[in-house]
Amino acid sequence: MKKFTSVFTTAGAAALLAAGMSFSGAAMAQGDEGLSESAKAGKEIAFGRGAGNCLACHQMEGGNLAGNIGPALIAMKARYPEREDLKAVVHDAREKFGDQTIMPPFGANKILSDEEIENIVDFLYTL
Amino acid sequence: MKRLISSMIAASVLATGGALAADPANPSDPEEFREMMVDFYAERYPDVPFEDYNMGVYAIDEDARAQWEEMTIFPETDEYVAAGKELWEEYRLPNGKPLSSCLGEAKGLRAKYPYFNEKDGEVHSLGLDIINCQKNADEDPEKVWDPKNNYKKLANVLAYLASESAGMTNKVEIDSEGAKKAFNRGKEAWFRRTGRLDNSCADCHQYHGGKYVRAEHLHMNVGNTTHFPLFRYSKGGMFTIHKRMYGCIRDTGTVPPAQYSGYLRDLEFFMSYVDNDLELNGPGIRK
Repeated sequence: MKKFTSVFTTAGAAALLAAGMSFSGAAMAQGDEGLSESAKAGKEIAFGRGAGNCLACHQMEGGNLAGNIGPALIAMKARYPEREDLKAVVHDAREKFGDQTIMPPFGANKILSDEEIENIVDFLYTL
Repeated sequence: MKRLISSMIAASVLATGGALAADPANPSDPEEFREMMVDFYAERYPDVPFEDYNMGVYAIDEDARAQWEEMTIFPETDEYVAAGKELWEEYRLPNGKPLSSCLGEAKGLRAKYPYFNEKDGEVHSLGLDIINCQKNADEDPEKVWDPKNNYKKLANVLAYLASESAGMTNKVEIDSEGAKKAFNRGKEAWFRRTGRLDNSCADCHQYHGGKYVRAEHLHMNVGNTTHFPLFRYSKGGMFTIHKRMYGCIRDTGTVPPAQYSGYLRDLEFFMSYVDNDLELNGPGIRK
């Protein structure tokens, strides 16, 4: 029984992985048209599970299975006309939202470099 | 409003170390605080009956609950319980006696833990008491079931012992100043922000409990201890509560306190007390 389960789960995982890869691959290729190199890099960080992982908490166009802890990231240009304001939130959200915010201080705690934050901001302005 | 209250709780816990009684949002009386924790959950999910809180996120997500119930038809935990039972019955301390000579009979043993020991002034966790039985009997250090050398044996035996208390009611007692202090230290740990992410247990599992991180629900602030150890499908293995706390704190981007350290035992004590009156339902299964 144990063996069967693991065969099934392995097969299932492989199928999911394959499906997920082809799906996100297609989405990437489709959504990336017209993005600058910097915005592309920012998107990769925002969707990746490593350092950025913005998708864990925020819904974003083109991202699958997003979390709902933070607000959806839409109309970013209208919400943050000043680039510095948006950068400041990614750098250390506590300054704008107060000490109790759950958003990690990506810049202040050196989770992301300044360049990576610039990339992310470039990507956010495409949303 | 709820957010404001919880912010007040966190702020006052941080400011006072969880010890002062002056702030009504941060009662130092453990029972009062436990009721606040239960109310917090009940306000967010008014339709979830109290006895369902020990199911974790399956109490609040019908679809996930249906999947979970399927997982329990041929539970992965069975083989761990069987292996643990064999170990419990066949293992002998260097003096030739079984573990029950040190800990008592298996039936209902898990239900006595965690508890505050007046003699040494510490919270006792079942896993650590097993390890200490072996150490005190001069067991060969490499054969002791500590998390580093023989984690699987420890997890298997804890799974068996959980099964021998399944169906009993969680009753953690606090009836001394020392126990109250241990509870308040655990409470402080629950609200303390750690790591690069600067997140506390409460940030995710209380203020944002029930929301989604990617496709997964965050569990709530009650019902976090009754089902341990648990089999996690995502990891394919049995997790003791200390391994789970260690991993969760590590994931905030810090060097976590060691498993069975005083810090994590106090946190276990706090969370277990909050879970009072729930049914023990270990060993559990989670996605």
